[in-house]
Amino acid sequence: MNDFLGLENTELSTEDISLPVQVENSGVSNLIDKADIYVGNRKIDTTYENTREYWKSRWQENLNLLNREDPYLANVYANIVAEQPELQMVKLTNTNIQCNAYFSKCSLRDGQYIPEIVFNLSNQETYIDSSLEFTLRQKAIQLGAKYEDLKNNKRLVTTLVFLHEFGHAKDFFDNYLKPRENIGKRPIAEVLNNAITGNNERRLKDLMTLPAPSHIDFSKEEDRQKYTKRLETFGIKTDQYGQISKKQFKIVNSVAYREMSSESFADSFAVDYIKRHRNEYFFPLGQQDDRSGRIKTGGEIMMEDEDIILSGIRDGKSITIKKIAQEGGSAIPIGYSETGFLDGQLALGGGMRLIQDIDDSRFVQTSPLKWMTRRMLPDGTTLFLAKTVSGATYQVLRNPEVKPKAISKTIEEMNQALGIKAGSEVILMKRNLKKGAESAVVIGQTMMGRLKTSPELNKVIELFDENGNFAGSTSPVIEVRRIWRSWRFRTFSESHYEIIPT
Amino acid sequence: MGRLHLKNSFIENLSSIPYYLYIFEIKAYPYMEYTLEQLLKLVEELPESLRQEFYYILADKKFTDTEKKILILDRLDKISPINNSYE
Repeated sequence: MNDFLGLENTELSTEDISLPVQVENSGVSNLIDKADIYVGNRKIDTTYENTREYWKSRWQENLNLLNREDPYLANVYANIVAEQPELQMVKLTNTNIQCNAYFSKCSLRDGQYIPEIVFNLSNQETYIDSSLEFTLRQKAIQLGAKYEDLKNNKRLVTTLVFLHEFGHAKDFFDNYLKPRENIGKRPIAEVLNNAITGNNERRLKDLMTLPAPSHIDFSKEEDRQKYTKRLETFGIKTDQYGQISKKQFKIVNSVAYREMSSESFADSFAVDYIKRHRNEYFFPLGQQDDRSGRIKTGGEIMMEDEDIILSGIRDGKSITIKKIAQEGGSAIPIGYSETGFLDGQLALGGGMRLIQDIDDSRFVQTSPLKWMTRRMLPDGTTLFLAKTVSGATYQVLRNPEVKPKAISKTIEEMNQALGIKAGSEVILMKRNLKKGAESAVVIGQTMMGRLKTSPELNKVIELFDENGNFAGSTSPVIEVRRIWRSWRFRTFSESHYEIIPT
Repeated sequence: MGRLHLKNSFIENLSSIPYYLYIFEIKAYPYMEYTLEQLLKLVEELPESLRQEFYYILADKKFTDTEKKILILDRLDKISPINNSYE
């Protein structure tokens, strides 16, 4: 089984391939805090010699480990590698540490770079804590199960975590390493270096899709205040006391995190496996619990507020509502349907308000929701039903492929909509990866300050601080667009910024 | 005792604490207040097998220093006991 991909005897190279350190000025303001100072002997030196075992099949040793430590996961593992043979390359290591299971693209073991999943087989539940709630709620929705049933089934939760990590490995192999495609093309070490860089670039792009950059600390009140406008673009609004619901932020952020391409690939891998082997994990509706460790699936399940958002029925998402029943009289006939973007985060006690576009004043709105349910259908899709206080029952369909368009705007429209002018305090957040050689701002970095002048086309945007000192600037603005609630502009140096008034 | 003092004191005593506790502790502080050097001190305490991905990030000329910092923080977060939480 060794060399099952036939790659170990392909193009050989004895030449060291090293990742060069960064030498150019990145423009980061803290000039003493530069990576090249700290690289030293931390430089990666991948060679043919220390990567030649990367492709080795490790299924037998993994299976032996799992048979000793967890025979049930051994069965899962056997299925995974039978279905996805390339995953035999991943070494499975049992480490008794207090951390999540993780996949490493390039662990160094006995002088060899290898793909590895570290999993705490000795104490599998160390990583199952309250922070997993929203993740498990999403999984419960995807599997048609009750959250409580899933949460209390440690075997299923452990299996999901185990599968999720193999999903990361599958993602890395399929989309970056591409072992079959790269046979004989390049030295293995170079393929690996390029794959890791590509994977890290995608991760960085992913992180920029979160409601706020992951490095922003929301335990600090000033940061929460600073990002209030930003969070509004995700439908998170302040309450009557000017506070942001921390819970709502966590839910929305959790959804955005799980929708990152790097995480959703791994999640889908796990959920798809469970669905393919559903008889091992679920007993059918109507059947008595046979104490086999399986849980119930199917049937109508009541939804809580967080379930509504976690199911993808949330601000800015395209949905179709169709009236299917009515208690009492109503002018709206059965069969009436409407499609639009959901305006605001939906919660029980509030109505569903659909708009055609963020700028379109036309809307339809239901009366407040009394309850909402979900039910997985035999074809694997989920049926959502919403009952309003006026007695109407609507079927709610998600239209995931429909996204709000980027709408061209004039810079005057931007200024007016955001209420900004000379002296207004704003945050500029860089949104793209393309780097201008002289750019002082890198992706995810924010500049905050007061506008020196009202933004104008073909002019730079310059910020100054509370003392009147220069705080940052962009190159001239050449285009303005609105994407749902967010406002963005493109500059002459091909930088894209989101502008957020504070 | 101010936060900065606590933080510096914490960094100075890295060698006596199991590495997973560093990662737990780091979440108690604002990430971006850590310099790259301080983050790398945390990375250095990880097992050798795990450090390699951080070295890849550190030495990759495709990323700016701030991008490296974001990626390192994200990676630390992934292997920490608390999953993607803004507690």
